[in-house]
Amino acid sequence: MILSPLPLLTAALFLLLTTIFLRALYIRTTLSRLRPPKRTTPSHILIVLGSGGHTAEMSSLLRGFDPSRYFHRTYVVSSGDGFSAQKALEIERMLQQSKDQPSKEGDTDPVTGRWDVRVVPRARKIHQSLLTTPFSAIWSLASCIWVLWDCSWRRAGWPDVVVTNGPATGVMVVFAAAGLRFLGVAGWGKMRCVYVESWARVRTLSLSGRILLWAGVCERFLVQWEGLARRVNGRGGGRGKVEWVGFLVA
Amino acid sequence: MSKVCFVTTGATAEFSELIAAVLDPQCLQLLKKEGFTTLNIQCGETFKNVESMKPADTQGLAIHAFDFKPDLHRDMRECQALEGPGCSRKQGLIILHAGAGTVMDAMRLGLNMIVVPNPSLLDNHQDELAEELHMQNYATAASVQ
Repeated sequence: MILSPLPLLTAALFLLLTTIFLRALYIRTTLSRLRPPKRTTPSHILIVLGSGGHTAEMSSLLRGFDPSRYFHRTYVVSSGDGFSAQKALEIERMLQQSKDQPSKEGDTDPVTGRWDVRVVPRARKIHQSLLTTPFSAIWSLASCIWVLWDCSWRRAGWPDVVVTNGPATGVMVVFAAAGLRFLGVAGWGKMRCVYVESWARVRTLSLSGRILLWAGVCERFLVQWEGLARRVNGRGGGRGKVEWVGFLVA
Repeated sequence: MSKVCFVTTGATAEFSELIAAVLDPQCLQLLKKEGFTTLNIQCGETFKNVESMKPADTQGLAIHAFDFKPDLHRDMRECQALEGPGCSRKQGLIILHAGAGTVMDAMRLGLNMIVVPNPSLLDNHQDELAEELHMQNYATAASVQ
């Protein structure tokens, strides 16, 4: 008996879709309920820096972070954003305030650990045509995957947590992390994604926020205004709940 | 005893309406009545026209205008009350555009704030922020209309 290709293809597609669905469901239901383990070992945090406003907020968000606990800090900045790379150094100066001079990028300090800056291409440049945006976005996503993968080979390993507050690059990094988790490449419980909506967003989510909430790829989705949380959660539906925890950057 | 009012319009967009409103004789009179001695204005691009916007009678207020500064913290701190030998100020006032970064800086310093959204930045949600700050008693929201 010769099987015609169409039913075979349909069956294969059906199997594939079922697998994807079950895997996504499994990750969503188990991982979101899994509390992070009580840490005895220092952890690796990945911080996405964007343009001026986002970076300023991120810098306030990280104020009071203990560098000996977050022993490895990887900053992801987008290309052509020299300011953000400079900002990483300023954030380090703040985190390592006990010392006169922060440790150099890539050096490992016994107390404050190590920090690195990674550059990824922009998903979309300002004024870039919408026609070419999908290509640059894919290119950006690919380099985000590469950056995360590259971490895993180093001593720091996969990031334990990924923090972003809304730049487009952050969306790419979170999707890259979600993809790697989905495929089971990254270790279990690694790269938990935390999204912090900008303090400036009082009533509506930003585009980045909407995309990430819709995709349901962040373990924690925090907003800083109660009214915004009420607006978003009030719409009902089990999916896409945000948490309001007060001002995080003020 | 000095009392400072600091007006800032932000670095992104021009906001000449706010400067015009502050330099209005009626406003200056009110500031004088409230005991203000100094009015500092960060004007942005409007700086080139600010001299012509000043009224002839400044009500005895010392008015200093400038266009941009990399860091406004020093000017903001002048709006704080200060007790000390040789220098004492009353708690002043900051009148600012509703840019999130500036508002947050002013809040950290505990300044009295009047927040004025820039209408030319409609898609920037400045009005929503101003309204919410007003509702939660962090600031007084005002408009230039």
